[in-house]
Amino acid sequence: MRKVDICAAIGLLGFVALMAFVIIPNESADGVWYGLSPYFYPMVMLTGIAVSSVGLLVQAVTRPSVYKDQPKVPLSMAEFGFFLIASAIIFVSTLVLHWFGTWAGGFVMIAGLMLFMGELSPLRIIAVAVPTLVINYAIVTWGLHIPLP
Amino acid sequence: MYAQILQATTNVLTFNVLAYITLGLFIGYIVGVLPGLSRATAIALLIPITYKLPPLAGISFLIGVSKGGNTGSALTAILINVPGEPQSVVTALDGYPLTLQGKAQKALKLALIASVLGDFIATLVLVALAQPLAVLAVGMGPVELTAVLIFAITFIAAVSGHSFYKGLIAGFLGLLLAAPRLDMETGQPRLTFGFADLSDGVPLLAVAIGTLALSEMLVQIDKGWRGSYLHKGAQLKAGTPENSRLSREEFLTCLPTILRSTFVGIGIGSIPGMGASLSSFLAYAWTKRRDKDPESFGKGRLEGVAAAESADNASVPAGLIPMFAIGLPSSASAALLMGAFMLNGLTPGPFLFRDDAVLVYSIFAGMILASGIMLIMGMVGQNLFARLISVSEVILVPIIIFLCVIGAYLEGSGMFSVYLMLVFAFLGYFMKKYDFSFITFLIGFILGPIAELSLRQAMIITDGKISSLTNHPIAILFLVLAALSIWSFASMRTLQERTGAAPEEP
Repeated sequence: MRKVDICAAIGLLGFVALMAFVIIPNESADGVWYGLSPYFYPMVMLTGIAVSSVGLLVQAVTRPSVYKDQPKVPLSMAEFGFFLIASAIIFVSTLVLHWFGTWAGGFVMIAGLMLFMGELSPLRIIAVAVPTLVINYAIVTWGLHIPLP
Repeated sequence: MYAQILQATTNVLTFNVLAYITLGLFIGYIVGVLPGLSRATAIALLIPITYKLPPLAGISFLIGVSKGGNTGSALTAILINVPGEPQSVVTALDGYPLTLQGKAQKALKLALIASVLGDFIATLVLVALAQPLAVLAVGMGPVELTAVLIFAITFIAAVSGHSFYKGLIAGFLGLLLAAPRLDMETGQPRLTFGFADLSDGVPLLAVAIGTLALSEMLVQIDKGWRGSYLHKGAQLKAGTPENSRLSREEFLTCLPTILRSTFVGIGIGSIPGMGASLSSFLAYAWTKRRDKDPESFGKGRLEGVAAAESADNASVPAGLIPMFAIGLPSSASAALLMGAFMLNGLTPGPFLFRDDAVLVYSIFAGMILASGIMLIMGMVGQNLFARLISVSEVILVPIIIFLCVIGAYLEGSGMFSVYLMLVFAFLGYFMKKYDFSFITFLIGFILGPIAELSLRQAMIITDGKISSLTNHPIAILFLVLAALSIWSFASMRTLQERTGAAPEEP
């Protein structure tokens, strides 16, 4: 965790610099109103992030004892692998939902995740996915009167 | 005021509102029982459903979910030693041994009564305190409000997670996330990157559902490499009639514990960031210390269950005191409720009592009624709810992820919100893994627009001079409290380094 904190602090300082010198000047209007520019609020928050990141960096470098009870690797490769595959399934099924609609996207999402989590029975997958989609469609379309994709 | 209370009571005693409160409690109960689904997650997922509802029905529904979730989480703690919510860890200490002794029904009944009593008394305290505190808070100007917000973020950062600095970073990131929108002075887009959907700010539900619900589901999925997702079933075997029934004597023995722990829950729960976990731990520790036989705790003492459950449930209404009085959410659930208010065009805080007093009193009346409905629901359905414990995560997680996508879609920005929600889910996942407090992040995000407005006004009023603060003693008080919270963090950190203990997320 200590190394992670050092990397996070440095990364955050980089993010602050990028925001302060590149993104905010390009993405905000110029000018001063009542003595304050539109930059003011985000700059105050970025200052807060920068100061806290320096604090985190100093703590990680100078006080290793703080980390003695924390896991050295908060995210193992196996966990990260599971995260990546699950994220890919969610992202792809969201694209399917966007392009082909809720029924197709919803089914791909629920079935894909169930398969990934170890459910191999097609009957059980259908028994979970179809009622979920039907109930959801009924509530949103007829109950809330909001059209789904 | 009496006319308003009468009007509020009439508003609540309608079929629609009562039905939504009951539905909220029912869903909350199920959420509390289901593994891996927290009440904050459920509130984030259910906010879209309240869009089309009148504010009273919608808010009462969500408060019902919150109350039901807290009560339901005791079931898993007592029956299978798996706490539905972090604060139910304490309930399991004595609840599960009682189950092993064949006294599960007795423990469940006591947990329910302690929960309902704690919740009911705390709701009465909320009703009694929120309005007078709001009257005091009306006198606060932008300078004082800015100081209160600085104190709140500092304090929540100090008490959540392992690292104060990470808590602060999360809080500032949340506050920064409120910056993309049309600038409030110039009306020009600021940090919107050309997306018209960001003109009103980053969609609340995309952030809330992403960081709370979907990221939690991703955490549940990545546990899979360790083995099965399946949970063990509940051991709700009927004991002897004597072991199943909660006698009058047993209840009366536990009553002082319930009352004492309720006030611990109210005291701790009303402090932003402290959370229900700490209140149930403190109430349990106090009860154990006062008892003549402290060694018997952890081996199946009814007082242990009573202390944990009453303190835990009292902290939910108590957590709403700062929200109603000064517009400050004290936990993730309160922050989401505040978001739900905002989506209905209402801003919780002192002016809500002035502008919409009947609505506030109606919500309070609904909360009091919810306590009674919760008791009946628990008495009738506890055994039925217990059957849900064995539902597999293989079924739950995919359904919840699908509901996350639909929930984000319903906010109004369509698929833009969904993709944004995915981004925040990935961010939330890494925040959870690397111990950045996502609760502080969310509270910061919800408070962002208020923080910007009050900070700008404070700068104009004081002309940017720190010396002008001498005219604002309340602001100085809160800034001193903020400094004290930093100091207390440093002391706590030193203590933790010595003892090895670690705080929990509120």
